Amino acid sequence: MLLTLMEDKDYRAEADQAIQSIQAKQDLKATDYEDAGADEVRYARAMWDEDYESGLHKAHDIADRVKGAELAGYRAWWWFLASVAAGLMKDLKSEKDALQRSASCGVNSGWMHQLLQKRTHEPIPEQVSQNPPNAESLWEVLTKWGWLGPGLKKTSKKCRNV
Amino acid sequence: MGLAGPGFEKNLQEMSERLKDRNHVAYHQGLETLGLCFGATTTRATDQGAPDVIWSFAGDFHLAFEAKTEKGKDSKLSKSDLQEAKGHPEWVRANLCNDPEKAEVETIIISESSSLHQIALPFAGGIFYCAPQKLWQWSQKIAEGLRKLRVRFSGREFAEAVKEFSNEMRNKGLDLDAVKATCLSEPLKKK
Repeated sequence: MLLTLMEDKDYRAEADQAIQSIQAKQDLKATDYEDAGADEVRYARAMWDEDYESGLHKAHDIADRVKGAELAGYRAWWWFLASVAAGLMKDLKSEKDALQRSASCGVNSGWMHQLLQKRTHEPIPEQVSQNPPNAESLWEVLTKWGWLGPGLKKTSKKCRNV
Repeated sequence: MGLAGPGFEKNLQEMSERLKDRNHVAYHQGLETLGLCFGATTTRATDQGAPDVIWSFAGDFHLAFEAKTEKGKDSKLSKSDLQEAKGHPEWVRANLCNDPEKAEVETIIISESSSLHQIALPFAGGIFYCAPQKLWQWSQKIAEGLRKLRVRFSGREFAEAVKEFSNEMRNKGLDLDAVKATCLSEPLKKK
């Protein structure tokens, strides 16, 4: 079966294309992380020195720099770290802003909303997120119960095409 | 060929069977699974004065269910049934809410009939009613919606798919507004 697949030109072309697209994604991630790496160290140093203002700026820089859907979790994390720095500066406005931005990244937004509520003691404005508040938790349920296997999906598609 | 996760279909099938069962234990289990279908954090409590099942959502919104499914169609809800249900928000606020003062807690009684004993009438305010048949039909629609979501978003990342996923949730009645519209559409106290 392997030999047959290897001799199939269409199959090999499709496989090469798939591998290239993975490679392209990885390159993008690597560059973005590399650029942010230096500022990660600067943030840590600033926080260690209790220079929270610089820490806040560094965290902002990183969160602003990293783009792309696959880095949403990383972006959310840096907005969270920005909120930590702002919190230590007792700058409630900046802290709230950073938490809202973190929540809007769509990763662990439920927890971010809770944190926002606790830190500000104010109800969360509805415009923070246009997504239903139960979107992330429903996604987690589907993940726990099991998505449809990709192999099954692919095979079903092939069967339909035959 | 990859297999569809067996847990998914098993959960939905069990939910369907349990929501048809009038035995309270099975029914509570079915109700709990239905809550999970909306992404709720579910609690099945056995404490005195606690609701049978609670669905908790982000934003400190909670739905407390009292299932009286073992009562027949001709039975009426009694004063003690309603008094029990009336105490549920207090239990939920004390045990499950992040901010007991600001949290929203609603109580729903599930029973074959919404008829009340004459003496129970003054206690019906602030409680909602839902028939088990209605809940079962709703669960079937929701299960179908989940099956479609599961196929459509398989292999995707939440952060990238969240907008599309949210739209599909709304289309399939899986969002919180749809839950509220269904559970809180029928006040027990008739005008």
